[in-house]
Amino acid sequence: MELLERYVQAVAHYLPAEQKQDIMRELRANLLDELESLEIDASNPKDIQALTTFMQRLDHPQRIAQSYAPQYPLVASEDMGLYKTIVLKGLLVLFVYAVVTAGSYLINAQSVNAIAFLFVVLSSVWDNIGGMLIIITATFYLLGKSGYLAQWRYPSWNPESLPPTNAQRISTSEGISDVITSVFGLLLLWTPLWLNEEAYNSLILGIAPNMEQWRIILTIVMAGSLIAAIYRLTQAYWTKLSKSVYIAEYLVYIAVMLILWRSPVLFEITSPAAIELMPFVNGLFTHGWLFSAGVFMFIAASEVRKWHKL
Amino acid sequence: MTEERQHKLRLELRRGVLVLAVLGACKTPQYGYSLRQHINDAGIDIDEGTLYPLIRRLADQGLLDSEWQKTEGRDRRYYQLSQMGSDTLTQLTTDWQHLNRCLVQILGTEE
Repeated sequence: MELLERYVQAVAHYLPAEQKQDIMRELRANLLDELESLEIDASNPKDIQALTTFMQRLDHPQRIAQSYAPQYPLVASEDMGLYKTIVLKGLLVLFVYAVVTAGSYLINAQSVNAIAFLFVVLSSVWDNIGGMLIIITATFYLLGKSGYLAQWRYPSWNPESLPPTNAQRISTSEGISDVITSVFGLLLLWTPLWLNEEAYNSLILGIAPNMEQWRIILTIVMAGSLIAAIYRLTQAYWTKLSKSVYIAEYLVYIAVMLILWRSPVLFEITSPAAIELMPFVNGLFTHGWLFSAGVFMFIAASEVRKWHKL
Repeated sequence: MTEERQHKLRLELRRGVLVLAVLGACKTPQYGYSLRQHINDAGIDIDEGTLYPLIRRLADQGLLDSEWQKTEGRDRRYYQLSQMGSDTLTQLTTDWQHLNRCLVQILGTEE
């Protein structure tokens, strides 16, 4: 009898408190009937082996408990599509927060260290991703269990709104890298605003005084890129218009680089200690603008081909 | 096809039928073991771990009424069709007969 009671108790361990006593009572009664039909006396030590075999055939206590009182999953399989969408949107929000955090970190640290910027972005996302997943999963569990999720599972739609067969997905990772590049570029452009005098004077590179107008031009170009990149992060598929804007961005960058290639040097050495590096830096930027323009032309041509397929 | 996959398909096929079998068997009061015997005797093999939780679920859905009785010196929970269960059984029986006729036609097994 002790073994039978241990089995019933083991099942009870996995049962919800409000149903525990009732299910235990019923399970015990059913098992006693089953044992009686098999002529197994649960209180007889001689029948222990037969009782053990019977229980093993019955199944693991946890499975029996699950059959009696099925537990609602954290996320039901029919909610997984919605769950993935919400997690993805949550990640984007986390990422935007991380970029803002990284920007303010650079300002507080009075630094223009790109590696530190990327590290803060990644560590901020890493620090918050666990909490975000717990909150989203707990919300899905509570709403799913109470039946509120069904209305959002398959939102109203019509066949006209389905993406065309030649639809091209917008790459989220490319969008993220575009945002990071634009934010970091804007921070670099405006170091005079947020770096203190000592930190600013310690920089070895700066915009040449006769090229100050480029600070404004590049700010407009990068701000435009940033806004477009953030917009693209909210979209799933390319449209003719969004692809056109994307290509136009590349064309603007190419034009800027070609102009800078033919213009006086944009950046100059500002630290007297590094002044001997000036010819090297000049050569690096002159060839760098041309090389970058060439790479951007290649990418733009590839994007034009994709535009034609839309 | 693997044996495991075939076993799963058979389980899926039986799942809905078992509800019908339990409701049909509960036209008269039954306790867990007697119900299992009743269904087994009719030729449908069902194990304890499947049947006993299924009866409770049907009772939770209001298809079966239940009450504890002391018989042969032992507490037993007896189940019987409720009014809702009776209506449901009538509807499911009609559906089953229709499905069965269709399947016989599709499978070409009619004598």
